[in-house]
Amino acid sequence: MRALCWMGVNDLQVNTVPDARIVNPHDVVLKVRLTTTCGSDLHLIDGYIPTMREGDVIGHEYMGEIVEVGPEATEFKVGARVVVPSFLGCGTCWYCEHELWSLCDNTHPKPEIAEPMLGYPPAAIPGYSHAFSGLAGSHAEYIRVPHGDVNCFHVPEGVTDEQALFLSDSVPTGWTGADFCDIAEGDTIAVWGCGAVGLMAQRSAFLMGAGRVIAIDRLPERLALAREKVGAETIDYTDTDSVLEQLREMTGGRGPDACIEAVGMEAHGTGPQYAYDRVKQALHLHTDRGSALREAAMAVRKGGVLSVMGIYGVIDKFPFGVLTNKGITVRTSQQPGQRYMGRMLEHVQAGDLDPSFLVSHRMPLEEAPRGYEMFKKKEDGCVRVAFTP
Amino acid sequence: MSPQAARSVADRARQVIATVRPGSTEGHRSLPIRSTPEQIQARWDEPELRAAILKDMPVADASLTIGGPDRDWGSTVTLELRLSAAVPDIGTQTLTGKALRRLKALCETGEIPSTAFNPAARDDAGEPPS
Repeated sequence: MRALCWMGVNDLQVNTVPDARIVNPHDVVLKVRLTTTCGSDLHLIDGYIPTMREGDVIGHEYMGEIVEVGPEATEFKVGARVVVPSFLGCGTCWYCEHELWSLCDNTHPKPEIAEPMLGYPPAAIPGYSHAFSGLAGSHAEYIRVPHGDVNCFHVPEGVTDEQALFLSDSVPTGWTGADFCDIAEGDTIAVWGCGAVGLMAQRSAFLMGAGRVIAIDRLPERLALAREKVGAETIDYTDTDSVLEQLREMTGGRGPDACIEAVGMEAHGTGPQYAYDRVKQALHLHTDRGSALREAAMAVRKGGVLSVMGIYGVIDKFPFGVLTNKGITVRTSQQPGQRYMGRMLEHVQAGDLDPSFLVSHRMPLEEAPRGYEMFKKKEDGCVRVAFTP
Repeated sequence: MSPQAARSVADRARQVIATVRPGSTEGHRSLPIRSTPEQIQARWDEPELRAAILKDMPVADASLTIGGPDRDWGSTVTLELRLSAAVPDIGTQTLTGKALRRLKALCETGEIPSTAFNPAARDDAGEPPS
């Protein structure tokens, strides 16, 4: 089959690889109908996430059609149209039973790589380095899904492929970020980042009762999406002396009730702190440019919530004292999409959550290297590229 | 230096360090397993399953102790491994943890997570692990 492969830092190629196949009895194999770029893939491409191997198939946000089921997978028949949350659970361990699916104890095939980095291995995610499973990713014609019965979800009639696609990762990540904020009716939520996850966090915050959502980014086309598609107020951080001051002003001097960080380790910014981050990251002295995270910690009101959905590695100069002295609750996790899938699908069917506007470009898989180049450089207003294998 | 060349140098350095200072060959790990003690013991005693749990590990001796229940986490199971040789780049403790996680997955789900036959653009792709 054809697949998009990581061949080295900043080297993606579409190659012919062996077909995905059933390995374990609870597996299913999907023919991928749509698969999309994700901002966290850039950390692999740029070499900031270790343990990639030359030839790895990347991609983790996808939907498709079941073409093969393992002997003990009983919930789905060949032909079912399904979406799969990117982190894979087993459905039986303590974590899955407590709906903490992204912490599953039983799906990671290479815990010996994850454990020295994290202490304990998280759930497996395909296409995202060997520290996170080594499972082949979704930018391919076919993908194996372990524990298909609990990780695949039927896409109902009336929900399009493009809507379902983003229920795999962007929507549940944004939803998780908003859920962590324990939003009370009328709360003001500030969201750093107007990429797919940031936009979905903004929309989710409104669905959970936020009175105001303030979105922070620098790209005019993304800020326009936040205003026009989500209904958020916006701040262009390149157009203000201080985001902190502007947020203070917009919230009557008290700050947002909760701040969601949806940017991650390759944040852009302004000023000397940003220059410091860029130099240290370029020299591999730390992996993260953390300007958005630091700013969100400073901006949240006393006693508020800082919800971190951006992906980080090793950061320094993090103002931990700010959290203590303001009594901030920090919540963070990879998304447990299985927990939220029912509610997310209900909102999509009701018409009050439509993530399909995130697709700014459509391409065949064969053009995926060009798609990632556009996505990385944010060319032509690129928000997400949807690939058709 | 290209990233590939740097990685190859780093890999060689790790191999050399593992040879010169191989570390302990004894490991000891505990994990809760949600299964009855009888079922856990039965899985461990099945030669084919034990071979799958200890696959690719140079095990000289292995012993399993099944303790009491830890609330709703399951029975606390302890695995002790003695290796016939140190495995380069992986601590024996970590390797023992991997074996115990395989047993846990087998008991709780009926299968061991695997990247066998994994698609990739390299020579070892699509094949079972050696």
